[in-house]
Amino acid sequence: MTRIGKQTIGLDNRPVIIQTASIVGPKEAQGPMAGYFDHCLEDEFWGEKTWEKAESKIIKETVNLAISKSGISSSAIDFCFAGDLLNQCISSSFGLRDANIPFFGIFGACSTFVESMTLGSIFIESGAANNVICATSSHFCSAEKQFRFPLELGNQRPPTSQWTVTGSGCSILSSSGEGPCITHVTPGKIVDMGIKDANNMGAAMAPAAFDTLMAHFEDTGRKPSDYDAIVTGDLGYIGKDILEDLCKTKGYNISHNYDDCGVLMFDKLEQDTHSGGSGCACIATIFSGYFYKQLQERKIKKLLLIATGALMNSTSSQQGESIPGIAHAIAIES
Amino acid sequence: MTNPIETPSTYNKYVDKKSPNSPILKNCFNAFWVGGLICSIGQIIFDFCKYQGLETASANTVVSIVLIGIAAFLTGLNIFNRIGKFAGARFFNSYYRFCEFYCFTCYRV
Amino acid sequence: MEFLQSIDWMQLLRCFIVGGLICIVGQILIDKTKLTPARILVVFVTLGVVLGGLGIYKYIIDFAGCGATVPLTGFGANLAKGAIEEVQNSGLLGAFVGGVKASAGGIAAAVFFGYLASLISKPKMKKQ
Repeated sequence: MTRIGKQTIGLDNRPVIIQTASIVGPKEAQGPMAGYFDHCLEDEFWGEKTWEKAESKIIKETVNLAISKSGISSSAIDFCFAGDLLNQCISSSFGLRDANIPFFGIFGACSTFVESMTLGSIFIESGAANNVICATSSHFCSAEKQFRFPLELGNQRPPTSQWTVTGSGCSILSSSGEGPCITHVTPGKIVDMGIKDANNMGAAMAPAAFDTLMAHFEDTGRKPSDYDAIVTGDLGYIGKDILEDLCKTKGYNISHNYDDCGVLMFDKLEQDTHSGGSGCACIATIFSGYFYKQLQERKIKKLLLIATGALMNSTSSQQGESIPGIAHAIAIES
Repeated sequence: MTNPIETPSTYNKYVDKKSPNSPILKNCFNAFWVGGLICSIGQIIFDFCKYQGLETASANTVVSIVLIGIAAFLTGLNIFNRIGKFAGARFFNSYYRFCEFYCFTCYRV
Repeated sequence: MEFLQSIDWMQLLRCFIVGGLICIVGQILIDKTKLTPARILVVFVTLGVVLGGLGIYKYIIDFAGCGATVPLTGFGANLAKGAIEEVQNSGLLGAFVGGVKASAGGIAAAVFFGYLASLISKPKMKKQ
């Protein structure tokens, strides 16, 4: 691998994404992307007693599904990179405690999925691993309980708020095999432009996405039109709009081939999800379900995937802190 | 186009312009009539208690107990949060809030 | 039927209007400020305590009945009234005892019904 520019790494051996899997909750199953996911749940508990246990089950089953679809045995998986939104990432650790795979718990808020794929790629590229699993999950109910208010409280949600996706997405990276491969990774810096409104995450994270996107283009010398699709994780309608504006200030026009998983996940009018979907699983499920298939079928040949995260917790919000954002980008070719 | 991301202050102003506002007139209208309705239900309960001969202080206590009981019942049926979304502030303005906080500390576990 | 005839309908109307107006104030605070619901709750109760303590709130209660006592400002005024009465009865200690004593019924109901509801029903996902 070669270091390119300020913060991009070019992967010469190109880790291959050999398989993915995605499981989503009932609200996502009623959305426009429903047909692309591997499995849709009928309720948020999936037979478990609590939402946290349900989220652990979702990530566990998603990982198992990806492994069985890939045809390689779980003993051939060298490392697992996983994380989620819950305190101390208990969803991933409890969900994957029986997986018997050396485990890296990581936290990047909603950018965790691409962060895990970045780290996994470096492990494969360096020869430290042949196969890695990258997984993440989120659950609307457990996230609301932790970050906002109990669901029963009946608070009003402002138009800028987003809906945390219930589900899990997983991808298996390998040093060999057939499939779309990762060519570049651009890890992002923490960017905080002083947004304090926890109900407007898109605005809080857009500057970080902008920073990473600009770093990627400047480092690689690429332009937006070099990609068939540029996809962000969960900026939502408002964050998407802001990112397009910000890119124009630097002379980059991304509006022709840019979309956001938070916008894609739900039907804004029918499902009343205001500014769109959010959560670690938003980009994980839509990439694993939809974009991966598009790459396999070569309908998309070059994809720039940027996961965005808001690095805050309920304490920092209550203490009046602003919301720092982060965004990690990977370039995938098929 | 001036650079909106130059400083946190310019970015915050830019975001305020970009972010849609809540439909405040509709929200206020709903808060008004739902809030008024709940107070009126309380008033009828109060008048009934006085009619039955209770003192004012006791009647007030009965009103709060009954309203809280109804709130807990509606929460249990998962209807309360729909009313809250519809009528917002109403539910910040009554004993309901009180009850809600307790109900969900139980739920939190 | 006799009860229905005994209701003061003008009082009911005043109750409806004042209760609704207090809620509009709350709604404006939600929509126009960054105050969290918990902070708005505290503002309302505190305002009620201040107005109750100054003797102003009782005029609003006389005018609007439950339109003034049901909202959280009424709760605050009730706390103030209870504290003042208890101080008159038992001295300084009454300031600590009186507020809770006056609202004891409501507090106990919240605890009791809240617990009951959590035993009987299960946490559910919201639909919207």
